[in-house]
Amino acid sequence: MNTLHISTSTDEETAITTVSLEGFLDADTVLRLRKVLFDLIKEGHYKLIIDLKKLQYISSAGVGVFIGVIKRVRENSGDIIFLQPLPTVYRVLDILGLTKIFKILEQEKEAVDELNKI
Amino acid sequence: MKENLKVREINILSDIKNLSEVRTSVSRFLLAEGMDESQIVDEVKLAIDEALTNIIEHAYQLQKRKKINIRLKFAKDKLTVILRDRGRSCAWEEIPEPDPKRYMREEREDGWGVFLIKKLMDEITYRPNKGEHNEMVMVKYLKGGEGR
Repeated sequence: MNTLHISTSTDEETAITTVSLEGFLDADTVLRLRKVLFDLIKEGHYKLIIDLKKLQYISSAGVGVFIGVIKRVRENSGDIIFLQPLPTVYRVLDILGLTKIFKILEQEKEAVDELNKI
Repeated sequence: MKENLKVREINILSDIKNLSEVRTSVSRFLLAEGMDESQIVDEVKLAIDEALTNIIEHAYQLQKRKKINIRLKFAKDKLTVILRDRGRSCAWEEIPEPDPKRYMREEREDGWGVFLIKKLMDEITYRPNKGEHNEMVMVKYLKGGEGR
């Protein structure tokens, strides 16, 4: 069974929330991620780092959830930054054009600096 | 001369929870046939996942107990994947390319699958209502084969 582990942590000082994904993100497992993202946004967390370094697989359903929330996030002075995707995951993001919409960075510090600029 | 093809078959019910099991079986079949190039395995697995998601969500409207048949035909120069369902057919050719900026404005999450399948596979044929079922045929040419 290909599962998805999701963990979140918020830095109170910077108000940046990191959502770490581990495993497989498909049309099944995305339902849980969707709820996590919607709950974070509802609670006013708009500066999000999505840590992808342990995500082994993503389908278009997984990509779609980020497109679905990015408008609300940016309208509230926030953004979503992808951190360290594996080559297989990066390739899907690239084919679907998300590399032009989202910042994809390799270092957590860079991501934090970017979000602090907003 | 008749081509000597090896065929593997997977039958599942239309539950989105079965996607993971299909991906695992497809990987196993491809590796057993000596397809150890990870990019090809990843692309075929993802294309099948996307096609199954479309069948489950659109053809079967999320009903979980409908049948889907998947066949993988292995030839020296190509892999052919055939998916069959008995749900609603779709106007495959009329599905537009995704427009990320519009989707962002509309907060739209879906609409990427067909585009991704077209990018991952070399040939795609969709035959709605062929006999009693819809049939999608996806072809991936292998190294040294036609189209590569």
